[in-house]
Amino acid sequence: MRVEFPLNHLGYRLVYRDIRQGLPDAATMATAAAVLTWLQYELDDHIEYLAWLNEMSDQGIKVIILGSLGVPFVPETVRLANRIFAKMGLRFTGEFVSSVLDAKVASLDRDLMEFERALDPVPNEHALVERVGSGARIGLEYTLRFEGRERRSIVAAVGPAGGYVAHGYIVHGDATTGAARWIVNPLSFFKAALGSALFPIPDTTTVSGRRLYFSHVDGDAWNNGVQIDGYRPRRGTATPAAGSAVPGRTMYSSDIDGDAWNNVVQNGRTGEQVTASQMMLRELIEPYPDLPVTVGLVAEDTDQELGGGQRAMETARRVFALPQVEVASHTCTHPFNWDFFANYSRAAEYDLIVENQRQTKNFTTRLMEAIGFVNAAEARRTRYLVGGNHAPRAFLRDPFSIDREVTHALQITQALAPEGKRAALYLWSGNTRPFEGIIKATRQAGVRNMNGGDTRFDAQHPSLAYVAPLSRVVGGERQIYAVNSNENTYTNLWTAHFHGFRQLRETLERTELPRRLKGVNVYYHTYSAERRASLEAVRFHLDWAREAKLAPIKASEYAAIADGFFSASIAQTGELSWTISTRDGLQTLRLDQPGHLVPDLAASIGILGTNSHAGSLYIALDASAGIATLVLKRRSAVERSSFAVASLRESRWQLRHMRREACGLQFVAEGFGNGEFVFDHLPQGPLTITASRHGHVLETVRSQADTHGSLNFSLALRAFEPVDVEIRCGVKS
Amino acid sequence: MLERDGEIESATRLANTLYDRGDRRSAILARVFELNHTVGDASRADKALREYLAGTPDSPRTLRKAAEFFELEQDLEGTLSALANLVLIAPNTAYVEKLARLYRLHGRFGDEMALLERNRSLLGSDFLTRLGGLLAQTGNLAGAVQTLRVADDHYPADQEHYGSLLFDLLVSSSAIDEALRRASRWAALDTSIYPRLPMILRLIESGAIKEALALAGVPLSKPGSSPDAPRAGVIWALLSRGHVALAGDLVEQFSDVKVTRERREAITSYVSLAVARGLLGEIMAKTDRLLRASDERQKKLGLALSSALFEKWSFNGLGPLRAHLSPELAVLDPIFAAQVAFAEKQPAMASFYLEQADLTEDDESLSMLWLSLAEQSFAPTNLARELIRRRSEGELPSILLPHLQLAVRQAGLVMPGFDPFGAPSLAAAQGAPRSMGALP
Repeated sequence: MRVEFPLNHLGYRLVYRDIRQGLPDAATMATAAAVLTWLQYELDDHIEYLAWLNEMSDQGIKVIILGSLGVPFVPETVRLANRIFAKMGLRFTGEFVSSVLDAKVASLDRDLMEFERALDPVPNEHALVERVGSGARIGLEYTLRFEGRERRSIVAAVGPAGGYVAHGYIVHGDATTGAARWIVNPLSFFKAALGSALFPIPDTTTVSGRRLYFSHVDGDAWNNGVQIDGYRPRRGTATPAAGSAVPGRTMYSSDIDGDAWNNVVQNGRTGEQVTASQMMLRELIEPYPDLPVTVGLVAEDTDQELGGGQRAMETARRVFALPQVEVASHTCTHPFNWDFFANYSRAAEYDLIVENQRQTKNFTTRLMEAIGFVNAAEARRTRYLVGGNHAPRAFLRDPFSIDREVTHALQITQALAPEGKRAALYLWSGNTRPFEGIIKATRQAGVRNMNGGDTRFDAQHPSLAYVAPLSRVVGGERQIYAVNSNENTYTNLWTAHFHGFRQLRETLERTELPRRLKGVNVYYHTYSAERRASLEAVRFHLDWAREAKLAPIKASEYAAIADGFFSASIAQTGELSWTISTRDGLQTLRLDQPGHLVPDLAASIGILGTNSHAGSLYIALDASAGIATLVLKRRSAVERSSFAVASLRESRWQLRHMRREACGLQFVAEGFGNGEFVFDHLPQGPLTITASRHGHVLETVRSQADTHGSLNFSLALRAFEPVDVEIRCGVKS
Repeated sequence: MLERDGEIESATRLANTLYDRGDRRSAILARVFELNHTVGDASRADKALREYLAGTPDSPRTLRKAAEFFELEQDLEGTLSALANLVLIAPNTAYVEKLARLYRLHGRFGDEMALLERNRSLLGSDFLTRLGGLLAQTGNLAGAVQTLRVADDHYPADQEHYGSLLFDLLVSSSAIDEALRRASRWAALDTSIYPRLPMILRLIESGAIKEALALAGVPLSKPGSSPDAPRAGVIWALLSRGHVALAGDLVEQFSDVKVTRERREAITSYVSLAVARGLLGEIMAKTDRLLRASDERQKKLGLALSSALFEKWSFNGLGPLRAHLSPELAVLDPIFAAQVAFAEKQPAMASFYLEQADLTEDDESLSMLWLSLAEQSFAPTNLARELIRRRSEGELPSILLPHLQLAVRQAGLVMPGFDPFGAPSLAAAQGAPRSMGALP
């Protein structure tokens, strides 16, 4: 739902409820901040519903009504609705404005409206809502003639008890193209409707004061041959068939129904054999030891019978052995449509394949006929080894099972990882809409899960409406969405415009300014390494990322941050103080427009420091502090204090176990690339920075803070394993 | 040949070399564009395309290609420009609509309107309606009316829609007949009176009372719906807005000889509100006139009004109207006649009238009223027999079934095998109550 991301950004979790199945009980509503409705039809039990809504409002829970009230306009419903509307400073008349000929804008609050699009000159028909008293902040109000009288009609407003936006004034949507643009400003509208009280927002975009970065790869087309000049077969040798039905899956057989061949192309000049995974390793992973990447292997891509084998496994071993690579699974058989597997039937799977292949006589079939292969069952088994997009999954040899798809896949993947490196993430495939049971299986297997979302925010998707929320709830389980879309959506599902992934840059820019909405996620498939255009597109982003001021982390760490958004408990302990606990991997809080308030680091616990971006204050937490305490004070009060507390402003690495001392501080850090650090409030004079591991000094840097007490330094060493860093006054040899 | 053999990169290098050497033949520009787009050098492809376009500005094919390219490259202005030029040179509905949608999405309403105006002959009803709205908002009311007329005429005859803006404009320009004609056509496809209500009120506001009442009378497009259903609904709306006299006029237009619950309730509300407004005299006069009318429809309406008066003030509410309630008239509304008879302490006459009454499933309150009167008018045995008779003839509403069972017991008519709700039994057939028939 389009409202979820703006609400996530404001620090709220959304719990969806189908009220046709019953209204939420008191226990469910105990911690609710608001009820938000966006109904498309009238409810059957509308009196019961309105009575419940009134009860919620009476308990102080905000009510936000988008579009229709979901009730008929009869005296009893109007009366009940007005008990709620009155608290917003509004009156719902029960009338409907269908004549908009004379409607003129009487009042327009541009902070609440015209967010992504100017008001349409042709007003929408809408329910007639009027102002009552002065409690409402009007977003948009018209004057018009209604049944012969001049009236004023409000279509958007917020008040003490919540807010209301009439249908037609929330999002402009084009039913034909699916294009959308917000009319109401969801960020300021929801913030106003929910009450503007300041509280620290759990932030999923920033680590160590910098925008977070991670990259992950879905291992589709692991064994495909590359199509780059110089790596293609010489004229006259066997060539991959064109027009593969499976994205990135260029098969020697003529279509998806054939046997899977290991499509290795022999380079006539050097004899080198290059697959997409090898190209990816060579061009996109090995050259970037300073950038982490999580690689998800499709387990059956390593299966000899299915086109894998030694070369595939060896490539996987080489990839996983690299210190910057995190090991992940991208399923066992690569399901495309997960709904099909929620109630799986092998017979139904065969029927689907047969139905799709009925008219096709593929290479395998011809081969079978040519050699007189007559065993129907065997023929079918062989024919249905590998499937294309219209098959339920890529590898069809064995019946689907949750255990095989999760546990077995992880085991195969893990077996290819070096000692001590664990598969940490499960990356969804296909339509990325897994069912509850399989998400549960990943959780029980002890791995995070991720994928789906497909956030875009660019010229083709010119709206916050296309920025995905943090997750998708399925029954009692949660799927974490990837932060950005992969190259599929930029290349018309990998059919054209193969350099299109370069356009990810626009989404990265729009989700950074005018406000940071998302981190950076360079998410691609192995098949991007098949073609020069797509390869260069990925490289374009990697080259940018290594120079940008980012905090690179592993994909599983991002998943832990996102999980932390939902698990975090923030308890207010005073007017300007909170404790933050059970936050999983989330280690940043955000205050939007904090004004003159800043953390009082002397009074707080587990706060590393702060950084500012676009009017927001990002507060870095120390992961070693299970319960952090944040105390805010006016900046002037903190500055007047003679006790200046050294603090982190930003770092490329992640810090924890920070201990502040009389003249310096120490901490543990780990990360990717050279360590880059900026600290504030350090004492004047020379400083010695020492990085060591297990007592062995790795690097020593001498520097000093500037006149403002800010220190900027870097450590040119690898911190895949944690390093101990000390900053001390004076010069140490 | 290089392209043919899949040597795209080599072909691209060759084309780029020719281009860099100054070869600007259109074939070269086209190849440079296509090949660089394929290999991902969007900047070079863009440059070549623009040069090609400059040389062939009137080529629809090129413009289509350009529009696709700019859209893929996320160049909004390029996309809009290419599409705008395309629809200038070779207007076609699909591209006009696509460009219009883009303009609207990005809030370029002036461009949108200009585009739609220029290409109105290509537009379907939805886009014509949109154009009409834009023209109206810019004050071009004549243009808006003309456009909306065409839009309305183009809608399929069986597609439900309402031209609210067109209606408003027609009424504003005193084109009442046309407004009514069109609104009646829209209303005829409706399953609810709510969409037409604003139009009825608009007609009233402009003084077109006759037309307003006519629109209120257009039957709903709902199988089994009484032709009076919309009037009944409109009466409620008129009463809530204080148009009591108009509501009364509409009451007189009830056309169905069958009395429905909605009609009965609407008349009751009308009478209550009218009397509360001090219009008792008018009500009495109207009722008197209707009771003395020659046709059955009007007589039935008069009886309905009388019944409403009776319901509110009992027998005294009828006053001089009682004189007009002849037996021939009374039989048109047997339940009301029974009420009057009962009030006049003539239970036998009441019973007679109650036996003539038709009871329907949808009017439960009337059924209960009938029962209440019957319980007071009939002896228990006769009541039971009356209920049994109605049941056997399929004329007993289901709300009265429990009362049938009770009545049969109270009358002591229980027979072995007798099941008032079940299939007929042999015992029941042997001189006992007639067969009941199966429950629905």
